[in-house]
Amino acid sequence: MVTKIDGATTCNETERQVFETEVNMGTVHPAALEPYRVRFFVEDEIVKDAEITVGVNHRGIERIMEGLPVEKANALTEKVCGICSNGHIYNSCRAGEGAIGIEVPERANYLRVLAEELERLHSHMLYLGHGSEVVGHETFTMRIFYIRESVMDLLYMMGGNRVQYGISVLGGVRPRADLNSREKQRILDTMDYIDEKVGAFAERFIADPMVIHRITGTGELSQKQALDLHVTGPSLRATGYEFDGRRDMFEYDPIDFDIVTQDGGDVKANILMRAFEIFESTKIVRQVIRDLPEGPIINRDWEMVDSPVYKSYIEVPRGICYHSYGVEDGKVRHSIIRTPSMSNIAAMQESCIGHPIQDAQLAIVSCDPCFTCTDRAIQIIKL
Amino acid sequence: MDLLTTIGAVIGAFIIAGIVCLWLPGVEKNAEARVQQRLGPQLSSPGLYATLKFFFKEALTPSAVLPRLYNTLPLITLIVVAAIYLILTQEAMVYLGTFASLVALVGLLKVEEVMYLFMSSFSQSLMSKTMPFPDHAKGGKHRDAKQSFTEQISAQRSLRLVSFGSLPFYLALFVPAIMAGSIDFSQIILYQQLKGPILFTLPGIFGTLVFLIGFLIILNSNPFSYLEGHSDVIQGPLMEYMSKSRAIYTMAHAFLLFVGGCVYSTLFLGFAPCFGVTIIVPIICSILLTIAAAVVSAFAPLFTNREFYPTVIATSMIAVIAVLVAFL
Repeated sequence: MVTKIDGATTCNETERQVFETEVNMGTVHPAALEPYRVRFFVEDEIVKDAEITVGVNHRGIERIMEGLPVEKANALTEKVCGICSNGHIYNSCRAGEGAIGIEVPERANYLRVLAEELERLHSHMLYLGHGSEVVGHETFTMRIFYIRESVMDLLYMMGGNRVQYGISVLGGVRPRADLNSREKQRILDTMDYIDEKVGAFAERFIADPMVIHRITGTGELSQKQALDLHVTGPSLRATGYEFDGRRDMFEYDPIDFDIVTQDGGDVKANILMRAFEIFESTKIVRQVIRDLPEGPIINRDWEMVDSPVYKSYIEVPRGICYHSYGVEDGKVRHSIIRTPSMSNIAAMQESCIGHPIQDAQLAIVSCDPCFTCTDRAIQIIKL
Repeated sequence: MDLLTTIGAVIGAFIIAGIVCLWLPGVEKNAEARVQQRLGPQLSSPGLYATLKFFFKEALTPSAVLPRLYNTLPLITLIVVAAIYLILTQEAMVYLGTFASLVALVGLLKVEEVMYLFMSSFSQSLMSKTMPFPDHAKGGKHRDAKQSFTEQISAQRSLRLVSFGSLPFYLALFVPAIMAGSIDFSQIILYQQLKGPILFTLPGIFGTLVFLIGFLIILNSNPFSYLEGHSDVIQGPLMEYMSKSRAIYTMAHAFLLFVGGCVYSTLFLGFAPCFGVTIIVPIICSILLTIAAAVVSAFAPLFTNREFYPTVIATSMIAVIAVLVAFL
């Protein structure tokens, strides 16, 4: 689906501009983790305008969910994405629990928070690695991916899989995801390892003048632009706006964490944002392990009831993720999934403009796109 | 040495070069891997086995303007690089006379650079303009904009490299000529046999530094892989090469790595490649040059225009200082 975001200038004004050339990239491109199409309108290698088109990843997941039993529909949502898979099944279960009125045990909520923070860790490290690769610094890529492996091992320990762990189920978490004392200690040791290694990585990264020169001032997005374009997540916080969806999630009420912000909204701010959020996530994980309450991890004592659409918002690694559906005869009705990258596409487009085409992919990547998540039927409503 | 013996010695030197150069990509990859705390590939894989593998791949018609000429360009590049090696070979210098000089070297290197310009201009891969995607849908921006292939960006960058990007390298080449008072290789070698290697002089040190950076630019090696920028132009001029053309390009690139070491060894150490024991010096130089290129590549991001232009200017200034000091 083509997204047209420029509502401020009229069609006649934009069409009157003449560009030296249009360079198309995609849908297949080595620098893009997922398929999407970009049209760059360049003059002497400087991008004067850009247009991102998504749609090749559309799989009709919401349509498939219609009519499925709630438990099966939840399991399906995990397949929306590989990087933020836990966020989707977590949010989908949350929507179902809210619709049906299922009370989730406290221990299960803590384990869900743990899984979500581990996912945030691996996602942010993947972002750092991918960003380094697009910058052309493969050594940094290899280093951060090596550190990331420790988090993947923890996710494998909890869920039995490195990707799509299936931790959340309707009413709680899977029994496999429960932790014994040995596993809790292993998680704590890994958090210490991550703090040490990511700290060293960040110091080395910041100290590299060539890398800093590449990323400073590149892909700049002002706070006003970010708010106008409804940017969400770390990309918004990188412009200095203090908003984190976890503050509105009841599961995070007992947990103490800071909202990390940066100024500038450029690639450097985005990278530093994610790096510092890694330290906040390790802090959250330690609190979860320390305060993990005893008790059941799943509530099976509920009855299926019909329900109108229930909306659930959570903060996944890329921003606010929205799931909603109603329940009728135990089956999902009117399912809608809106991922944070949907909001951030407009920012990706704007952040390319004014920069050399060599930096254009870097600007897009700095917004941490996940097009696999994003491809939905989109209805643009002008208020 | 009579002509037949000379020809035999030159062939021998080429055989040694051919054997050594196909291991250099493996040295490069392994050096980079070690920096990144990885094991890396087998030493023979990126050069020798890759070349053999490509030879037996299916050859399709490349998506290019004048596809047969496009496919011939890597062979021309290989011939040009072989010609550079020939004029450096000690046995051939006697018969080549003034052709074995810096002017011929610079000219042949320029031809090699221009090959990339032709490759980029001809290549018209599917990866951009002709990707079957409905770009110009209703509501799309600037539907009348002139479209170009991604490789055209590489072509523009090739022109910049030819015009001024490789200037530092060529300035560095003239440091030994100024010190020896001649552009003939035989005179430069003779000067160093009498007075010692130019490397161990002040202009030689500056010249070596500039030679290293300049040679990375000539090689299009990271951080100067300007033509083959992974994040934008993907592979640039090489996009449509497959099978034999890709194999020949791999050989040409590996040979250029070796020839770079030979150029340095001839001009800065006084040891030209030959069919004899002293070929070990150019071989060591090429291995060290390859490792240096790998280490620089591992510790540097890809340069854009913002970093490339100042680097070329700064390196050229160092080269000018080296040249001025050489005059003193």
